[in-house]
Amino acid sequence: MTLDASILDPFINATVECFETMLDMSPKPVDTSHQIPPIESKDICAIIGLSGEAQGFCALNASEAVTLEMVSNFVGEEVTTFDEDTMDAIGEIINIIAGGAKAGIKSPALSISLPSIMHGKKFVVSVPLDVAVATIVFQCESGASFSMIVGMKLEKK
Amino acid sequence: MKALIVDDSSTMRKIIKKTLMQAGVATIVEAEDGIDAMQKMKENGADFDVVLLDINMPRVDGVTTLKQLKAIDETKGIPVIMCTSEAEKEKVVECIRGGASDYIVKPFSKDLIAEKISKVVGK
Repeated sequence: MTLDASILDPFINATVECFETMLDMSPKPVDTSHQIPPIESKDICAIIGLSGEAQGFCALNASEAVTLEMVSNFVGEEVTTFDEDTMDAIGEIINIIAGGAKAGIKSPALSISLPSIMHGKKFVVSVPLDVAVATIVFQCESGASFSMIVGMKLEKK
Repeated sequence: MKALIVDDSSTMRKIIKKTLMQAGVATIVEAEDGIDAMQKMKENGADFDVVLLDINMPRVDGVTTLKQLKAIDETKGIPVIMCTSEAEKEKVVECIRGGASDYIVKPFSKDLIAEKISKVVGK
């Protein structure tokens, strides 16, 4: 079971639009893989749950350096530490992306949860085996890369 | 010009505040939810030219806060711009019917905020 373009394209479009409009960055999707979890995480993983006609999640996965670059561009000043404000900013970024993707997905109708931010070294993202997962890798013009992980279990109507 | 920014996210308040300052707004007051907004409104004698109001907030949300602002003689004439995400866009219609002057959907550009403020304050 794999996620098709009707699910993944809205996440790609919402990510690019959020970064271009609010972060002054132009990420390009360079690779999409349909991986079987567990997926090795980078340093920061911002996750939002999806519910409604399907259940799932989306997660922004980036290194500390790339995350600080994102947040600095987002708030318009250099950010060098992972404090409460930095975590709030990361949560806002994934919230905007998930909101944009939700609006772009015609079916299934989805609701989004509050964001959760995980910060650490060498952790993995695991989900139940019947959840289809795709990882979209983005590359920025600065050379920085990050990924968006989308997981979804489509329910029978 | 004096503006009140109401948003539970410190990040969004910071981004909007910077944008307003660049657009020439002289005085900016921040509130983190509807309760705080009504308190700040009272403390400032309802002396605001515009309110930027997030829809999705804990305790008292933007829709309820808008109703409160539009129900009080001292505040009902202050233009309110609703801020929302694509996920809550359907609530915008309710807000416009409830007296909101305009709305901004995240992600938004800095130019768009300045343009919206200029439009509603200039009315």
